[in-house]
Amino acid sequence: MSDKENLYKRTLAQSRLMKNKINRRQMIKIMAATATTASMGMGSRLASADTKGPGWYTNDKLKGKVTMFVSAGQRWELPARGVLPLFNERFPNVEVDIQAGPHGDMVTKAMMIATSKSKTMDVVYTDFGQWPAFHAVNAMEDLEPFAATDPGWYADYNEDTPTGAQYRVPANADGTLYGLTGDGNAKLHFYRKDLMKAAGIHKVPETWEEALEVAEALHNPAKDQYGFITTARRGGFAGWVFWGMLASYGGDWFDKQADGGWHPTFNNDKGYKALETLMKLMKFRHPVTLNATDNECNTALANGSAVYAPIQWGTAVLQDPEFSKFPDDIGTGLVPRGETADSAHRPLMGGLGQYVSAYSENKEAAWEWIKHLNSGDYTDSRISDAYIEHTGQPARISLLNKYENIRPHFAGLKQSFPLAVPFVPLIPEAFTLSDIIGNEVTSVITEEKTIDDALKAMDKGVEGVMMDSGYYG
Amino acid sequence: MLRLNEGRVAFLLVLPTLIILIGLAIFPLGWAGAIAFRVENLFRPDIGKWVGLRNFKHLLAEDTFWKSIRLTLVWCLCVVSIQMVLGFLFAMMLDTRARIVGVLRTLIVIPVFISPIAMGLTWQFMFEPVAGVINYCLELLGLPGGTWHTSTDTALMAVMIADIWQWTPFVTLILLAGMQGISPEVIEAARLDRVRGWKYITNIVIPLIWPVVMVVLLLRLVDSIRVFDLIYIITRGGPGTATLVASVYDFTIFQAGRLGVMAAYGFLILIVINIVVILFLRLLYRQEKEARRVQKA
Repeated sequence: MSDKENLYKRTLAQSRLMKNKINRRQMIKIMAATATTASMGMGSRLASADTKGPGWYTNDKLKGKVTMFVSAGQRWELPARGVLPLFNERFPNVEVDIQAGPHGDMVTKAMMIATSKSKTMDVVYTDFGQWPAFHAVNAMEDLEPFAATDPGWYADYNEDTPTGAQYRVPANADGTLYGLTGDGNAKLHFYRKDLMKAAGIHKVPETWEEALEVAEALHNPAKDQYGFITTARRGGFAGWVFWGMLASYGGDWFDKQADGGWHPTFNNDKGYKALETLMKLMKFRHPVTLNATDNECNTALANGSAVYAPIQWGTAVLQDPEFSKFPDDIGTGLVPRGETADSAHRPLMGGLGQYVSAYSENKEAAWEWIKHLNSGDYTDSRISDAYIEHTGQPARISLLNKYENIRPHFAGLKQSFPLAVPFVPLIPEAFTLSDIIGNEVTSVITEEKTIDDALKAMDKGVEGVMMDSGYYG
Repeated sequence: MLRLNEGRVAFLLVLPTLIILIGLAIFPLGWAGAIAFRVENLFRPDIGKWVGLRNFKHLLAEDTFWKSIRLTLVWCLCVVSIQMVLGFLFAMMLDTRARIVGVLRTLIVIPVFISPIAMGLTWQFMFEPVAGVINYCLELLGLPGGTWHTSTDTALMAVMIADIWQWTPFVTLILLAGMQGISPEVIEAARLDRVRGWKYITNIVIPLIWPVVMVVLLLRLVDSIRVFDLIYIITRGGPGTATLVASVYDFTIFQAGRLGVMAAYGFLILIVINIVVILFLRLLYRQEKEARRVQKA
């Protein structure tokens, strides 16, 4: 049985267990069968004992309770729950309480936890774009002293996790570590290989012009087949689509992200080109596009009504046979680039990570928990096996490589990370600014404003926030 | 020894309620009032500062603000009037002594008990333009499918359908209770006088159940002004700003972290809605007075 089949059977069993289609006893039988039938690969690793790496240790003297706030469901809560049994084995006297909440409310809820200075949450697992805001209110614990106690593990983490995905202050490889980013994501290019082949398109689009041609060629509303979909819901979602396209045309949020700068730079040729291209793509949009988040986009792509998503957050579900009708026909790659001289492939990078609350009374236990959650083969390959099996999407390059055969979109992530730019500017006001630009993008898409007026309004709105925050007078 | 007079006893008895009221209503309202005149950002709690009327001016200059007010008023007007008319018609139909009426009365009340979240999600799936059951049924009948909640042109109407479906039974039940309270003598007298059909409705039923109509109208009006859950679940105020009614708009401002603007919006909405409600209630009061005068005459 191949790794892919093995993983599929196990994921299916978990999914059925969650839907009460099978009981726990049946689930254990399936897990045991898949683990023993595999002669090599993940199944055997799960069953064997020689999975431990040089970083493995246990500690029964460490005691306490760690409470973690995390977004509910796939990619965040489930992988955390997946690696928990092994953590309990390593730290039998540390209790981990995982408190999951809706992903849609994560940003505001996490911010309220941080500003309330509450001791109730020891670990907050949230969007790494939001971390500057937590840092500004001194909610994050400096992790360097903890990491220094295990230099081998720290070196492994640093080498394996892209610098752009790590949270350090200042934001460079020498900055102080304030959080661990176990979950990595990037805007990817999703396309239907079968339909493109049938339409005589043999090359994955490189530029937005080519992407437009593909969208037009595949667009056939009479057959409920739409040539374009993206997350264009008003607010941040629409804002990040625009910012992704702007980046690919060589644009940026500000003239300079340093003292003397911070003046918005949307109202220029690059901004115009990005919005103009988006409007051209909108001619081929799936009906749900205007109000779509990842949920709506993924559902439409999985059921085949949307067939092309050139700028869409990475996800495993489209190549998951239980969720998608076309698991083997959906390809992934780099988000297209513009055609101008400054253009390049600049996918947006996102992801979630954990920080230890500065107000926690169990910091050491909290650190051990997040360290375990972010560990790879250096500690024990069973951790990463469980993480991936429970729908995790790692930022660690070694794990993207290792599981690429069972999670095909990992190849796209691996390709994107070295080229990626953060999906928000790394400042506390990031989400307020994303909302401002997103609302203006929506006003263009719904034809309430012209592109010029919207770009002017973006600059004005962003400048107002930056002025209020004291970046300039 | 402290002697308690009647006034002191009354004050002590009211005190717990007063404390709760101050703690849960007056203080938060005052706090929100203070924030409305400040720059307050959820993501930058350190930059709060007094800005006078700037938040209000900013909102009043925004097209989206006026659109949200317009949408809220359109929502209230359409939803409440359709629910009142349909509710009245259903109540008239159910106001008989047939056995089936008991069963129907029980069945009709089911939508009222469904959680708005569950109902919103169900309608969202039903409205889905490509894979939804509504368009599927329309196609079976040879009719073209709609874009429902996904189009800026039809989204508000789609959410209205869901709300009307849920709350019309409530109106029906209350009006039915009012109708069944009409004295049999009055009905008998009307029958002897051969007052039937439209005349019976306008001259007998409506005047006699008018206080009940007023109560249900006010309840539905207040409920529809503060609608949030259903719209938030089905459309989140979109597509674009097509269903961005007051409460949803205010929440999106909160999500962007702009607490000062959010508080200012809350106050402006409170003022606008109060004006509308007062005008509406005055109009209804005048009509009721007129109805009583006619009744007496």
